[in-house]
Amino acid sequence: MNAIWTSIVIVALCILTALSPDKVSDVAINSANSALTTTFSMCGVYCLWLSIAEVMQKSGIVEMIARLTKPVNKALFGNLDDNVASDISMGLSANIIGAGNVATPFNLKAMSALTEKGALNRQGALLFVLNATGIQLIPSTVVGLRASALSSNPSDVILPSLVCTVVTSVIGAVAVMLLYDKCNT
Amino acid sequence: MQYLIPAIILLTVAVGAARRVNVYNCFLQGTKNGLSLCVTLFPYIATMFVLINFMEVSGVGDVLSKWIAPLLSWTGIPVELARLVVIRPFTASGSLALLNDIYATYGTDSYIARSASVIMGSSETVFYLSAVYFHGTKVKNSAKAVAIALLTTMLGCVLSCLLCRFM
Repeated sequence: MNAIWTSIVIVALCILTALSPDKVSDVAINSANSALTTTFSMCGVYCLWLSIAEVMQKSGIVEMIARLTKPVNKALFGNLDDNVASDISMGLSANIIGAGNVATPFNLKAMSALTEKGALNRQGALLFVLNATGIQLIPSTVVGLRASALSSNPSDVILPSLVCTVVTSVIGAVAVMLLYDKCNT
Repeated sequence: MQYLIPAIILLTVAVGAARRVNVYNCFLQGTKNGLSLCVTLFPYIATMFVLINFMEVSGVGDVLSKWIAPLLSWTGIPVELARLVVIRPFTASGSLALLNDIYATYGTDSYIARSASVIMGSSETVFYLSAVYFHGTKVKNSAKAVAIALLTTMLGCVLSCLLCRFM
């Protein structure tokens, strides 16, 4: 990340300094500002769902969801610690109902538990790749945007998107299986 | 569909109350966790935004798109979508804005706009997610996972354009 980030920024800085030096600090400052707006617009989502998750945890609903999704989890990730498994189940459930932002806090918790030993194992890699290739069932944002752009059939992209998502998830999962050694934990 | 999320929230709180869980304390704790998650994630999001905006404003993004355009058309992705393919792994809001432009320029129901929609709907912000998912972890071999995710996303883009030809 360091290499990619720094090299692109250096090239961009050179060009900007040569062409429009007045913009350099503006861009950096505005970026941080809009990042703050974005982060805090997600803050509400995180607060609400982490609260709901807390209630679910205390009232045993998490356990129920974990038990329901156990077959899927076991097939994909093998044997998991109970806490990690329930975090992954919650993330998975959130993704299925189309709330990707809600899945993030759960996946992060699972990820930090999976990477505790200092190396990314197959389970962690799989968790990341599945989420990074997109596992949402209905691309509601895109459909909404198409509807507001007066498409004659806004939802005709749902089927190809779904096919595409399924195919990329399978390819990604197979690639992880091939490139990451099976871990024994 | 619009009842799903409210129903989940209502049901959770009701079950919690029925099982004598201290719902108020749970919300206090959850909100605290939510805020601290935002504070942890902010540096990663901010540096990613700096990168994206520098790329945009300096024109590096345009140059990159021009470079990969011939490569893309060879795989069947229309040249018009090069910018979207380049920007998609970095930012969701940026690529949504671009998608809107594509709708306005080529018409919402054109082949290009539909392909763009499918690309958008079936992929994720790989770089952004990698920054967020691997934050704070000192794992060294995450590059391989990011590479897998990126390559798979590229394949997904090719597949999107292919599917839109006959679906």
